Amino acid sequence: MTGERVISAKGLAKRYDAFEAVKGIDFEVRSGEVFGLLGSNGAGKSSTMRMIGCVSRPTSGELRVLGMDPVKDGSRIRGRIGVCPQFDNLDPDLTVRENLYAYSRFFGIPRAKGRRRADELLEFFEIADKAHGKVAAMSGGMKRRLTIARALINNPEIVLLDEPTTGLDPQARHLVWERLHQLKRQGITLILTTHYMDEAEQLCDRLVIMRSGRFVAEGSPASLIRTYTQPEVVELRFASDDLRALAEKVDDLGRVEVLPDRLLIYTDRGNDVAARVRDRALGPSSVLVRRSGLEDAFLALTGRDAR
Amino acid sequence: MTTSSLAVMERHLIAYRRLWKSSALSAVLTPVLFMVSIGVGVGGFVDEVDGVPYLAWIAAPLLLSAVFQQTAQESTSRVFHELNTTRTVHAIVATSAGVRDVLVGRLLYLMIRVQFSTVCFLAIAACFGAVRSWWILAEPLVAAAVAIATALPLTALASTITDDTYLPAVSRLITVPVVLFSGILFPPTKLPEWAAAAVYASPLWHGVDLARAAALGQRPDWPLWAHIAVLGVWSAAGYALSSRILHRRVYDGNS
Amino acid sequence: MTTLAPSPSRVRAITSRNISALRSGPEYWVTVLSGVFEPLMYMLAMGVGLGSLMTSGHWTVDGKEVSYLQYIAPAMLASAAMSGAVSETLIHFFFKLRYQHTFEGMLATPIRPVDIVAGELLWALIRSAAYIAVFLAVIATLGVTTPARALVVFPAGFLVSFAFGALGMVVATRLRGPQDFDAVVVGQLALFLFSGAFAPLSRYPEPLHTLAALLPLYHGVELVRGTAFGHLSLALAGHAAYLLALGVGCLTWTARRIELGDD
Repeated sequence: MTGERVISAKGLAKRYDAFEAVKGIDFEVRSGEVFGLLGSNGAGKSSTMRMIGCVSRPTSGELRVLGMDPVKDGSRIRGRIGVCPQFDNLDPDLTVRENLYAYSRFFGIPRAKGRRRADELLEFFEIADKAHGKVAAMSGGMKRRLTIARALINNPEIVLLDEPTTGLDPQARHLVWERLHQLKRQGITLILTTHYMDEAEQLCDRLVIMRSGRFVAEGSPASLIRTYTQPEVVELRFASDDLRALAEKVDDLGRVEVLPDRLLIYTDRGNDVAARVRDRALGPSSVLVRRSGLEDAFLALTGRDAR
Repeated sequence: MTTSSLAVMERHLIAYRRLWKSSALSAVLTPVLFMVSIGVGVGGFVDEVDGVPYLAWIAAPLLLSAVFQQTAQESTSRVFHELNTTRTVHAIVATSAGVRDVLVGRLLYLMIRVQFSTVCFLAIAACFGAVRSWWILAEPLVAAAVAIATALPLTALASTITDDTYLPAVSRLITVPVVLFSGILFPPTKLPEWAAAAVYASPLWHGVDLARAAALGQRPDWPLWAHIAVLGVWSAAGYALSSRILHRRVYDGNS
Repeated sequence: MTTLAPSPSRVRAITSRNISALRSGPEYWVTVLSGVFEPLMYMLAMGVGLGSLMTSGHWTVDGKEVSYLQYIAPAMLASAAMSGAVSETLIHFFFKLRYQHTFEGMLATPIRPVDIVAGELLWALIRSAAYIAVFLAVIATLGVTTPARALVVFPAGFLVSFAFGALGMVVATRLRGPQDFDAVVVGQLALFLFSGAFAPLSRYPEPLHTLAALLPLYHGVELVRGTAFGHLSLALAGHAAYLLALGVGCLTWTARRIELGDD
């Protein structure tokens, strides 16, 4: 844990009429940290983010952001954080640069400073050449960059990023990641939700996995992989369809998971296991040994059923 | 009023910069067209009303009807789209600015537009001989009061709508009847009693009575304090309601 | 000309898409009923309210004296027919054309532009016809016209819808964007206010008088008013021919333009 505590939550819960989106979660975020919320759609990530962003009142529990109470000091907290919501809500009536400038004014930033800051951010996110164009004419990746740029207009201490790269092409994602790394180096606290495991692994110091409004695991990406899965995975594919029968023949080699198209064996020593599978002459059509990732830990924790 | 309210006004003005020519033209042209079509065309068949020619009798009220329609448009479909389509309101309230700034900022912006069309129209109406008293200088105040008493209740209504097919119905079932029956073209005393009672509840009628009295230098039908009271009640109730509804919509009830 | 002939079955497909899109909920009825409500309100406010300020005996159609309410009722019908058709073919059509890209999806099927134009217009006419029918029923009940006259007036109102429906499409293809809607609204208002709906055009000074007589709604108002109270005359045939020519001309132009892929 690095700096001082900037967010703390105890028993935080959010209910919408009959639906309980967040069912009592406890967490702390320290300054300079990159904290990730992982989970499937509907796990409660966005509701949690909205409560931290002071645009949604907690139903119960305690929440402090920058030492203040979001219910009483919403406006003051919002003045010190930046928000990139899940869906872009850029202003279509304004140009790209005007979007940043008008937004700076909502924070009470003086005109000249707002213009300067807008230009800096346009440069930083490589969209300066679009400054005087319409928002509607931008690609999805550019709009996302503009939304993130907008979240930084007030030099926030905490930035909330709700699925910052969903729907972006690989180039655009990498550009966003690079910029987020730079922000991290500047010491800004980042809180992000994502369902991309590579993104979480790349960016987060610490993350929690959410499922149905609760935390099911918490830790650094490496510790989560260590705790919830073996370091390596052997993936076996067969010509035969009867994978269950084949699974019984290798279940002494490690934890075996049967998927519709292949078998996974979780193990400490992948190459040994692969060699022993070959020795048994089961005739796999392919054998792949790879390192375990966050995705394996995530699936082990939340299950494979798509919801 | 805070700096954040001014920032919201600034946002509206920046967006308006690209639209103002056509919008201002229509704001001024609409009452002028009515004045010529009805005032000149029909006016000759109408006896004097309250001792003045018909054209002069309807001129200042026509301005108020244009102010009312401009405000209604801005407070219904505009508010609807910013809440449901572009979600600009959600973007604003995620900053230091809050619901109050969204409401007050839009009112300030509306004031600027309304004052502009008021001055332009009065200049034209004066050429038609429809301005007969120095009390006309009070007209901008009347226009502002009507705009506020209209904008806030309609914003509250528009904030409850989530399906845009209902928007034309709001205009046809509320805006148009209010314009037609608020004593602009004929006095509400010509209506059956129950209908006249409904007219006296409309903020537009109170503005119309004041605007007409100011333009003609006559005493209004109702005392000044009664007009101020009704317009004040609409404004206060509209503010309280729209503020509560918007809070619920954008903050899930947060402050 | 053969490429411009719409196919009846494809036109029907476009029209029924619109009908089913609207039949999905209570909004449909709110939309239709409120569309009739507006011109009726105008008729009552002007006819009864403003009419009460007038001395009698000024209003005649073909030399026959009528009340002010009767004088403007047909004109309100003509204006309702206009705005019913225009709101569908201009504003709605514009959004489908530019923003919803409804037609691009359709053009990937055997449906051709001309089918779309005809189908959209047919849909607008169905809606206007419903407006006209309800409006006539109400004014017949109020005693402003007789049921027999209403039957004659209906096709006249329908012709007005046709002409303005087609004209609306031409305007829709020429709009630069929603910023032009203000101009459209003022334009429509000007047509309405200077159509002779409220007073004979002779009341207006020149050149306003002559200019207004060239505008399409004037001919719509004269046609509907003439069929409602007057006798059939060559002048009425002239108004009808003007509207028919306008409608056919606009329709042909729009189909050509969409065929060329200008939009």
